[in-house]
Amino acid sequence: MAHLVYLKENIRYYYQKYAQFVDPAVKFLFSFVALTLFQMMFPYNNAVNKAILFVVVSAVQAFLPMSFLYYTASVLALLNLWKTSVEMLLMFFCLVLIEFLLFVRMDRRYAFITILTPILFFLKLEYFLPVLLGMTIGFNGILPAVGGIFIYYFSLYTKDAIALLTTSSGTEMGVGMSRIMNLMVIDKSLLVVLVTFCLVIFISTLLYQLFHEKAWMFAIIIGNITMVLIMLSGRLIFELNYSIVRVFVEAFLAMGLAVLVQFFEGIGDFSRMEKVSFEDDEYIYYVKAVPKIKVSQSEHNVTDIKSEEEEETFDFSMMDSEEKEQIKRE
Amino acid sequence: MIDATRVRMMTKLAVYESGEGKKELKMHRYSKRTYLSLKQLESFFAMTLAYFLGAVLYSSRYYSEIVTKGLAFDYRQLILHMLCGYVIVTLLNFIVTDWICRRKYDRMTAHVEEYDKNLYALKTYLEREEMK
Repeated sequence: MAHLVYLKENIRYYYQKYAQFVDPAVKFLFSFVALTLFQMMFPYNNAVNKAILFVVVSAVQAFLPMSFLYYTASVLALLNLWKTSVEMLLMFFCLVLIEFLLFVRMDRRYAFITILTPILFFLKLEYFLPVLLGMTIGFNGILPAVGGIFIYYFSLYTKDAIALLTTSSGTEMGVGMSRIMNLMVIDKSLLVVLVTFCLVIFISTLLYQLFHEKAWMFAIIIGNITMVLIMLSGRLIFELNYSIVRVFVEAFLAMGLAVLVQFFEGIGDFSRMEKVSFEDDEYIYYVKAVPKIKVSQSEHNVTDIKSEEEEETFDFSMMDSEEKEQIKRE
Repeated sequence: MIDATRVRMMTKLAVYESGEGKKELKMHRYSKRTYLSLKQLESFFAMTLAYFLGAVLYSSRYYSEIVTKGLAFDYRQLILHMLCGYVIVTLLNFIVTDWICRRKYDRMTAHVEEYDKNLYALKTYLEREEMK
């Protein structure tokens, strides 16, 4: 266990040392992957489907807050939907605006979650998310996750609506919009997913914030079991056809990931150095404040203290003759 | 010569001012009541606009019926449902905004108190140094 603690502190040390390089690199990679996946979700405009464009935008994104990706990805989706029909474009614009008004404007983290959610859904890794959101964000993670789910399902329904618009001739304005809204209302899988995410985030947050040493363990186990049970019930009640094996496998893996996240909790929060400047009458100060490392392996001193009773009952039979003589001399 | 104690104290203050303090010191200008009222107003307008957009999106479901039936469509029921939804959402929004903003304000008060304490400690230290 001590080795894991040293590993955590070493990671924290190296992250702290190279944070100014690591952060932009991670942002660049994530932005590139996110934009590529968003283009795959809304693949309607070949003019913007260019790798060099994504590289340039990601390079700019590397030096901006991560929440800016919400606006970039939304613009990308809008540019793609512009090629399909005006009503889809307006619908998606309304959806993005609603999300901005309700929660994105309040905290940058919500924008990030709203982008991460459809990406995980697209990669079929969505079941990793609810318990993690409950542990890291709390109740406030519910609305952004719901927003992300709507974006993902909107991308699925758009394909259906476009197929309807292209196959039927002389369709009047508003048919695509009507189709998407009808699908959103009658689609039971969307309802099950929304209920699952809301309940699991709620339960995980409640359990995680309990005043108990092992509250995190309860949150992880009960949260994931709840998720599996709700998805199972939804499948049975509404006769849906999503893979329940995938739910089980991902819930199991999600438990492992949640334990890892719990272990590395806070590794990025306070490990970054602060660079500040201020002045007084005599000097201008440029200060780099570096957080202290709590445990260092080289400074770790172990002292074994034995009581007199333990020394008397010490088992000499397991020792070599040389060791016995050394102890006698001492 | 550089005074290490003074630098340490000033660094602590500067770290707060350049980080969380940017928003929190602005928040501190308002009393709790004023801050909550402002946030409730802001949230009310944002939520009303968002609800209106959501209602327009939801109504698009009945677009083909509205186009074919015209005035014969049952607008009364649709509007009634939307108004009931608006009242419920407004109430929820009020409760949630109040809870979140109260917690934010209380957290800000604790941080600013700490900041004031450190500022006073620096002031006392500087005065002592000047007297020497």
